[in-house]
Amino acid sequence: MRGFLGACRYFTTVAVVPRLFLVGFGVVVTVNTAASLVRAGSAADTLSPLLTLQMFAAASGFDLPARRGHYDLLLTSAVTRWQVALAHGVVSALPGLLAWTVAEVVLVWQGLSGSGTSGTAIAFLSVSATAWATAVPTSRAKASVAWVVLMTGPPLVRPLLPTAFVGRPLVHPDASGVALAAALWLALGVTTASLAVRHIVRSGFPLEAAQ
Amino acid sequence: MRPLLVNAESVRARYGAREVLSGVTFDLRGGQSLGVVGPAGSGKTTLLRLLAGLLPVSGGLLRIGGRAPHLAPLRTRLGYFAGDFSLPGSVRADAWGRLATSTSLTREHRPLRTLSRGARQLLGLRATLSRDHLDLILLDEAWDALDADGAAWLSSTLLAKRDHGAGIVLASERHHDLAQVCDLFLLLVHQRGTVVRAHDLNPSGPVSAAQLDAAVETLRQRTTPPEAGGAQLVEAGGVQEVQSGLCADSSVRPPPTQPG
Repeated sequence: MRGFLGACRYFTTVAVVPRLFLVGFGVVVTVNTAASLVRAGSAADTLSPLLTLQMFAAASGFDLPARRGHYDLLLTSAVTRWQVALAHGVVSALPGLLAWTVAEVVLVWQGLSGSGTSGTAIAFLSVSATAWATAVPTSRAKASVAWVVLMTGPPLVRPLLPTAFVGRPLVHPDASGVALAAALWLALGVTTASLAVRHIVRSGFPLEAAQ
Repeated sequence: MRPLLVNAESVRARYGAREVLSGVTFDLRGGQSLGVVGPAGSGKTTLLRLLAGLLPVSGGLLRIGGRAPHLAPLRTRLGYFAGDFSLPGSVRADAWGRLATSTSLTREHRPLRTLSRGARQLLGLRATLSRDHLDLILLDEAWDALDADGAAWLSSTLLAKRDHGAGIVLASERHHDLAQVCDLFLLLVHQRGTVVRAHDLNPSGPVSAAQLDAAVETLRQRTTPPEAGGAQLVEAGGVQEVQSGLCADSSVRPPPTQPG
């Protein structure tokens, strides 16, 4: 546990999620929550922009900074690679998950959310896991391009994207299609996150300059 | 006799299909310091990252404190620094110092990228060497960018660590500084390593940079690149080497030495 917390502290210090994203989460939570309260809009209006920001924030990337030597101090300390991988995932996803929690609490308190929390939770967890995992062996830039391609894809695909589950209840007679898509995204998140952890545990990290 | 820290037997490393090191064999005990010498691109940095467990070996056997390198830091206290470029530029200098040692190494609050190269190098070295009870120290081009005071501090710190039982591996093209600190040398030429004792290079006193340069040059001239058919026998200037083919181990173990 001590090693895991030390690794979390390391990744917080080296700012795997740049401060600009933290500011972005703060602005989106404040502005959209206030707008929802004033206009009595839906939870999806507030939470969808947060989910979109999380796609890019959680995609922090591991290999690129590791190959530049930025993680040498941690990778050569008495912390297991498992702990390093989990800490990197947690620190990458945490700002977005915290922002969602804050927004959700405010919306539930105002009676604007509640029944749709199951869809929102699946959307945030699967997006966080998938975004982090796809960026681990690549980079934030490459993972972000993949998200943009998905988001701007054909209209037929959009109902299957996580943004479609936000604010929608999954346990509902009319929600079987959404529930199936959510289950697939959750499975994708778990699978890609497992592969990313395995990648960090087993991979070597040659210095870019030495190859 | 101090414990065996590094046991390397015919170690090989490759990046994809390209072989970078082949047949590197040496032992290192606590209290010994090994200088890795060779021209640019000879595999010095790769060897250090293998020892640090940051790269997998592609052949041969490598043990650090009796364990596979990637598991070694759990038992062997390792200090590794690749150079100032490996520090994340956006981190504030004081925060980096606290990360490494939990004590304040500097009051400088600026991001690392805004410091001079020498200041970054010195902070990186201090962060690495300030960790308590290091068993194995691995430094790459450690004297780079340091001023005279910084270089003197580094040399004296390394000698003190060695005398306290740490094993040290230093890769550098600054042979003058290496010669002051190291009692063993690993000459990397044409992807192969040859171990030679300082005493063999100069039985009458400390090794000079010129003697190190000459030893490397001798090896370079008398061995052939692997693609040209394999390494040849060298027996000159105290440099010991065995004849080998393309894939054979071309290194020798250093003779038994007294612990430092």
